[in-house]
Amino acid sequence: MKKKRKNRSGGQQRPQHAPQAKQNETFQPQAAEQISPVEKQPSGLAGQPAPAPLPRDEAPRAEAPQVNPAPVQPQTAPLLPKAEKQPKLSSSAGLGTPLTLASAPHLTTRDTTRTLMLDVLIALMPALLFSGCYFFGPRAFLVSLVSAAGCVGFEALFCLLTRRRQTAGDLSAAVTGVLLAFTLPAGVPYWAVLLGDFFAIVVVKQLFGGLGKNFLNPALAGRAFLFSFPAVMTAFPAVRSWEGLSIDAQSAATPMAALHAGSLPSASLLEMFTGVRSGALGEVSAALLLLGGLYLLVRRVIKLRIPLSFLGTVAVLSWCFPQGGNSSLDWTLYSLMGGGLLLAALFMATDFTTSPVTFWGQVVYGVGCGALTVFLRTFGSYPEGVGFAVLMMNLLAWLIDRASLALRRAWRQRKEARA
Amino acid sequence: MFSIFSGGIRPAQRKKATGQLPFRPMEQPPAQVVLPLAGAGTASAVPLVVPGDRVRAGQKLADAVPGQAAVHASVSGTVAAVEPRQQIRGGAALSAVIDSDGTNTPVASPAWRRVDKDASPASLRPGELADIAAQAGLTAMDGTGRPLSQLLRDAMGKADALLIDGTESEPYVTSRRRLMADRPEAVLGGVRLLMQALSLPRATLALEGSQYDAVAALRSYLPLRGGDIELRLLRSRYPQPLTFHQEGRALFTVCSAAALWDAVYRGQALTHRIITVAGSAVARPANLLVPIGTPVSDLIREAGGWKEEPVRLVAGGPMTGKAQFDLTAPVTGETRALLALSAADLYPSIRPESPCLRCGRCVEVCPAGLAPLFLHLYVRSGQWEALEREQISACTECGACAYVCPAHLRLVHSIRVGKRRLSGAAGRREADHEEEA
Repeated sequence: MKKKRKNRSGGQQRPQHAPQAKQNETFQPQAAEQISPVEKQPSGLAGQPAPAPLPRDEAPRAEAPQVNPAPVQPQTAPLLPKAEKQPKLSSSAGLGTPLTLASAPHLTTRDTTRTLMLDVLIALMPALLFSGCYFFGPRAFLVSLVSAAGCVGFEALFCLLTRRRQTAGDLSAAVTGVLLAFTLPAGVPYWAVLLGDFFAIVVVKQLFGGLGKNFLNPALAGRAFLFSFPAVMTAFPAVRSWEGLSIDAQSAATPMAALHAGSLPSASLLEMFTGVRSGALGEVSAALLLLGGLYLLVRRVIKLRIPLSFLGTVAVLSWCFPQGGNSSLDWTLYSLMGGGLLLAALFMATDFTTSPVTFWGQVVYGVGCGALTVFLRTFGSYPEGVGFAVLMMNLLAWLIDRASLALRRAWRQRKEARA
Repeated sequence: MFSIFSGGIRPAQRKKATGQLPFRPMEQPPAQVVLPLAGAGTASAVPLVVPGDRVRAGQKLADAVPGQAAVHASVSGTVAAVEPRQQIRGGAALSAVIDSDGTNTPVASPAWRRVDKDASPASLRPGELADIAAQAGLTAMDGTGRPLSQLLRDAMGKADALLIDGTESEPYVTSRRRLMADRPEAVLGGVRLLMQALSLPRATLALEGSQYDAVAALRSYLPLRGGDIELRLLRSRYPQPLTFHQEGRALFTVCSAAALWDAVYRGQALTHRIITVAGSAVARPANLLVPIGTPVSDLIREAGGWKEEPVRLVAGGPMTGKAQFDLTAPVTGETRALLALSAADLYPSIRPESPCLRCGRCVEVCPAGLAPLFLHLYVRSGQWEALEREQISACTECGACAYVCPAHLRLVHSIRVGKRRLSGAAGRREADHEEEA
């Protein structure tokens, strides 16, 4: 409870100006607060460069000027908030201006969480536009919009109710919403969409600490939750079966179902590539998903290693073990473009929070995703296994990180010992 | 913005304002200089002067003590006080305060044998060069402030390669570039002296392709190929991997090389250095030849005063430099630059922190192969033992992680907090003084 209160204040209600020596009375309560724990949320002030409050003796410049008392830097204020007045200065040129203090570096990138998430949204747009204008009609737009709005709404509501810092603006919830919609059939009822949103944002993301702390990909977890309603999740309408807002509820066989049965789907390879086939709302067009992935790579939002190791593993395993007596080439190409593989490899497995951070950790993670995908597709009772494969590897992400960092340390120690 | 595999970043250079300006002496020399006689906290050197003494430029003020080079007066005048004064690296240090008489009368002759200008480096014994470096109070001029003589003696006979570092990959800083471009003969002569001091037949001078005028100036003094000094051009990248410590290789800066040349052939102690004064808050950014000990405020005045409101004043490069709050603090031989940064310069770095995304960019760019996001997590949650396991001491505080963090986490700050916690109360004071501008 106490912690939460601190969280909310996030430093924002603390006095901004460096207390001068005379104002000791006003300063005391703050000093008492600063002795308390380190884990206080470092949200910082808008436009305030001083880092998070830390115990007094840990501050980087606890050393106050001992001799030259001119600029008062009180010993009790290890981290100067906003402005330190320069009370007396000999020189001309208006050297009496407030200066801020902070640890180096004094320059940082312009990227923020929001710009990264915006890039992901932009990368999803081609697939969404074609889906809405051509494959599944305006209902695809509506489902995506409802889902994104639902996620942002639940996030905002949760932050409001729990008095956390409002994070709905960082667009990560919107990305979750669109990604969740992409994995659903276009004819999905709206209550199911909102239910998935609720599970994804509130249960999977916020209850575990919000952005950066969830251990499962919220969109995939929301989708997995919706499998409680199999009738909803398997009614894939055929492409171009829409008429205005309504869509043919008749479920068409997806290419993945055919693959699961060990035969090649009726759609040609070109149709698979362009997306003229039945499937979930955003997953049908390989070309448009690749276009979005390319955008993310160029913008350096994601790195190639997870998608490459993921798709590479699937390709190798499909090539080695084609099912139903089909040729290796056909089977591999259909496997790569079938189901939600490209969507998962480019947009879901590369989710920052639930993937490892080290280079080799990411490669292992991608290989694991690929191997599990092929395993689940071949031996699972449900045609598509990509989502569950990624979820399972999400659970291992921290473990992979720990292991790869431990290996890195061991390697470094060995190198040092040799030198 | 940052390279893919081997760590490091490529920040925007922001060197246009000063890159092509030749360095110049100050138009308005400082009326008073403050020369720290010892690194605060280290064994204090015994001052050789008392208040009221008249001193000449280049006169010794304090002898060398282990880890600290000798200190010389950078102007002539009267000693006003010997007392602790605020330093730019933080904390106060015993300093000699000298009121300048404006004449800059040099000492009659230096304490060491002055070498004729035409004499070749081979006429000097290696040990003699180290002695001159000690007498002249030369330092590494790489930010650490270690005495050059000590480094030379440590490397003698052990180093089999010599690398001279002319790179400056931090944004804004152009002092080395101007030194190389405007005094190439001093730099190359100094490199040859260093080769002689270490008895090595050749040396490599590393510099960045973006320092093109420095490259052209140095090239004009060197044969196209087969010379004793090889120029190695690098792409701008921060931090420069070539300049990392390597076993069996001696590493010196171009500033030290030029200072050694000045000491040997001109009999000058280390009393001046080139400092880049830049940032959009100063009216006339410049590369200034500054007497060591000049207060920061005099440099600002020399650069035309404030053009807009300075939000932060940084002594050193923007990636590792220290923010200043006291404009009376004097610059030292280690100060590469003085940056008056406006809100626009700083803008993204003063954004509030947001939660860590675990995007892994910090891991990507860390030249030490650490995972700063975990160090940050452990520090903020007080898991001090985990820090040791993660080898936090391998961090060089280059700042690349904090630069790329999209959540704008103060990663370097957290790491410093963790390091200091681990080093404990005993190590705390040393840690204070290791970092200089």
